[in-house]
Amino acid sequence: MNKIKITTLLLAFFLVFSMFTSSAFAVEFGGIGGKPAYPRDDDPKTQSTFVHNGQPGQSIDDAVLLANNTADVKTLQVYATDPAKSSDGSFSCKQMVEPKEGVGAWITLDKNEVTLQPHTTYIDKFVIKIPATANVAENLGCIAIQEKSQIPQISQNGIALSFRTAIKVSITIPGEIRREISISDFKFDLVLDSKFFLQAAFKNSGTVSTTVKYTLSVVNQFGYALGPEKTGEVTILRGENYLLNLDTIRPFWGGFFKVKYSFSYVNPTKEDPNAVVSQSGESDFIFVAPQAGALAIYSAILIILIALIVYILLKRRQIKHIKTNWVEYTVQGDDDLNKLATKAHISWMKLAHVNNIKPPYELVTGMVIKIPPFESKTSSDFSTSPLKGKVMKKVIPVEETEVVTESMTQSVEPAVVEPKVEEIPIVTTLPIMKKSEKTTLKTLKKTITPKKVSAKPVTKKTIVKTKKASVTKARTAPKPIVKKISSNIDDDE
Amino acid sequence: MNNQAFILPQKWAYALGVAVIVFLVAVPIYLFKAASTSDITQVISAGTLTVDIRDASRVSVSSPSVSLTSKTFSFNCQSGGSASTGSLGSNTQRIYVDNPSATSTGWNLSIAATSGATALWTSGGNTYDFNDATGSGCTDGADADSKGGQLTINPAAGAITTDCSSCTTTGVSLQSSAAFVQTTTDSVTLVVATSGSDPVWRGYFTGISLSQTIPAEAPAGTYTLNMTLTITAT
Repeated sequence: MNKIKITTLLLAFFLVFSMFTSSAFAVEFGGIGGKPAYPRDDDPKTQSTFVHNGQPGQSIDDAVLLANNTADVKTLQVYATDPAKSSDGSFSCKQMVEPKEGVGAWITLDKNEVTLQPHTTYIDKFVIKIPATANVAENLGCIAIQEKSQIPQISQNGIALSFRTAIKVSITIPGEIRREISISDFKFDLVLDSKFFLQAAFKNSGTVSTTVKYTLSVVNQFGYALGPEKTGEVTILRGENYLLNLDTIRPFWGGFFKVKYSFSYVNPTKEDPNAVVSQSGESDFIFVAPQAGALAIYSAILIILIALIVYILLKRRQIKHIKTNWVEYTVQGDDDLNKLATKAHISWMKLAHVNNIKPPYELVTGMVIKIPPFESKTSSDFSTSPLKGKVMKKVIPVEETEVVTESMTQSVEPAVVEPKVEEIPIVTTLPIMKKSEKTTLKTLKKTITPKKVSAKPVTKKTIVKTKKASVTKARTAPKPIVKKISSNIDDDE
Repeated sequence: MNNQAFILPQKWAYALGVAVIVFLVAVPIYLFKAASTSDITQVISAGTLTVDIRDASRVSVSSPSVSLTSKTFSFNCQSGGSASTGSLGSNTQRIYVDNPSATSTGWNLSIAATSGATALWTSGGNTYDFNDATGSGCTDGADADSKGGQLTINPAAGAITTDCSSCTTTGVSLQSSAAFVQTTTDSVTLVVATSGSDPVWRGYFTGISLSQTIPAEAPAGTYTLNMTLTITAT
């Protein structure tokens, strides 16, 4: 009977105990590490960091909970270090071997080496002795935990890796505590073709580390957001810049973007210990280059545009050339497009196109069309074209009556010749020079006059003006006689 | 008058009765305690934030390391495309982070030389530097030692993989490229998890690129450097 009673009571005890303590046997996973042994309910941060206020000369007792969550026996090294600023401005800790000058030197641990059985914990006490000379401000340090083992030996060229868990220690010596956070810079840092970093540089100008809640969004020049807003919370160390990196999808088409931001932090005042400071704003526009695919499309469009512009310019130049150089011709009875084109050494299609002649490409006698000037195979000297047609007025070039050589040094009254205006048989009867004639005139031009000959037909009025000018010039300094050569010759050259 | 006698229950009924009474008493006490105190919750969250190097089966690697490409002796500095390169975190050596703490304050993972800022790549009696910024690592001058050489780490080239059913990469980001510079950048941040990240998180990082500038005329040898990964709750 007693045996049954005892069994039943034990069973009942186990039942009750297991109900109250089931959490103590909760499965812990991971490696080795630690955390504050006595977190405070009033400050959630104390679950993962040591946070204390103290006066110079004061001693503060605390403890770290060491955990071996592996299946093996582990010997842990526990040590205090000074803080280190990491590459992005975030908090990190110096190494065990590095000298301690700050909070790392203020901490004395009860044990620096603890051997733990699998899945067990140990509370290692320590004392923080704040020096009498400590400054009013937040002072940071670390307590680090790592497995005691030989440094891994490697046989190849490379890096041997160790790892540790560090717990931040924050000791604030009260005084004038000032919290001041600002955003000092934004930039985009391209890392991959499809990804870039948005970097926001926060600056903590205050006297204590401050936790900042932020919201960032990237918008394009039209105000459309590029992806969802980025929100989070970072702790920025006293007097440090913190580079907040947020990876963002790189816009395919690129363009100009700006960052809209807002952030807030608690800045207690005498009136309101929970007073919050909020700021918002936006950055300047930043250009983000398009992705490779978009760049190829942009380049193709640009090439097409350039080609189009070049084509238009060439076309306009061609039209200008036709307007300037082609002459009018009155269609005769036996003319057809092909015949005229053959004579002019151009394609009949071009002739039709220039004159806007549509299919069936018929020419009507008396119709005036534009054709290029051409040299007849059978003509000689200033022979007329075999094309015959209506008589039209044409200003012929002024001929020189006097040839002056470069050796002339004395002032010579330029010979002025009245332009002849005469009727010539056909507008296409162009004075075609023989090659030898052209050469002579070229030589004459080179040796006598450096002046460019006007392509404008010379009229009587212009001759008079020229004469006056020449006379005036001749009185001051002798000049070679300006030869006036037909525009047709020039064009022909 | 009827005499009523109390008959003792049988043994099994006695045991059952005791168990029922214990149960009826225990349940209200349990419910009351759970609702009115936080002691239980604290005991449950006994996990700690840790970093470790594990293989694909989540088994810790005993001597984790990163190998860098071998370079031949050169009278010229080997930098940029000619630098010795490697990858921190591979499929067989994953940088695992466990955060079972259920706190939402965030954490960061950084790397630094185990011997501190004065560490050197060492091969027997030969050394060169990992944190001299002069001439982009090609010449000596920016620090106390007389060695050139600079190590650049680009976490952004890597990848984040979550390893728990409810984990996401939200709020966990690989950081941008940074080079070690003595006294200025003695630690390079690899990963930052903001307070917006999952409070209970497990995942790993692979493919973080390393590039070491080899100074001119560095003697031939097998050079090693010890580095420590540090995870810190923020």
